[in-house]
Amino acid sequence: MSFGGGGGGALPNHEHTNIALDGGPLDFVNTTIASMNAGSTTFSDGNALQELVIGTPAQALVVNGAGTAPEWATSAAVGGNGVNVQDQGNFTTSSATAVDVTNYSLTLPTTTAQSDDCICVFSGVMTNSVSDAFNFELVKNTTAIASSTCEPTTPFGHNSVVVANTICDADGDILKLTLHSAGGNSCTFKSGTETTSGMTVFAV
Amino acid sequence: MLIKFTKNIVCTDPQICFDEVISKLETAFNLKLHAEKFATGHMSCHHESHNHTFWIFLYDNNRMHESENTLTKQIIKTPNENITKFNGPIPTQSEINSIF
Repeated sequence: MSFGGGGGGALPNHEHTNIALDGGPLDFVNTTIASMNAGSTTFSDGNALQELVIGTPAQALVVNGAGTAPEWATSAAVGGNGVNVQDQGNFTTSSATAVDVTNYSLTLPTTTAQSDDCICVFSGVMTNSVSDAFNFELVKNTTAIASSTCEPTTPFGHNSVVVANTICDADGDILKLTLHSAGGNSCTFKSGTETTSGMTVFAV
Repeated sequence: MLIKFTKNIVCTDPQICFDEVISKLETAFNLKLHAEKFATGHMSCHHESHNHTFWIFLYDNNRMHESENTLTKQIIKTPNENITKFNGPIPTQSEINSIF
């Protein structure tokens, strides 16, 4: 006499369905256990479940280069959108040689993307009180990579918009904004009172 | 030479704020802080509410501009033919405070 006692037939494959004697659904809410590390997630390689150990802070889940599995990767920038600086204080100088604008520097992202580049976007509002030309520069380490000159006409004191955009290597260098006047007259970069002023870098 | 200090100031127009301060400084201490040629210094100001930071640079050498790297705080020296060395007496902090 067989172990099954006869009459029972072969046992079905164990699939954890709602069918009687099939184990019932796995309870994934703090009940079912597996040999995994805290924070890990799972995926299938087509043959068996695989463990993907948790990444590091700010990393995002992306598809690997082969398009076959998920992996953690350092996102191109904060929030995955861009590195942005937008100071709450206005800045004025009377220098006829470029000076650093306070709180307008950032570290360029590093990326493994194919282009290995980033797009730098600067938009600012400036004002002055006498006739002069004013120059903004985006400086990568010590080299100016983009500039914009603004020469407001009368009446002075009005807001003038300046922009400077460029593409550069995403290599972790420092990018900063500098400002100077042509004739040594003062001008103000209105970062704190004009919300359109800011500098952003996107890895692409 | 850098004279750097902060003031508890709230301004509504940063350009007017700056022009008033630089005018007082130039008059009180015979400075030339804004000029295309023969400037003996320059001034910058970060107008944070209740916390204005002022940088007054008085140039130590002819043809050599000075400014501050905002990250490292080191002095950046940049050749400029229009720079003139400041030879006057250096105003003290208390003297500068008196113009505010």
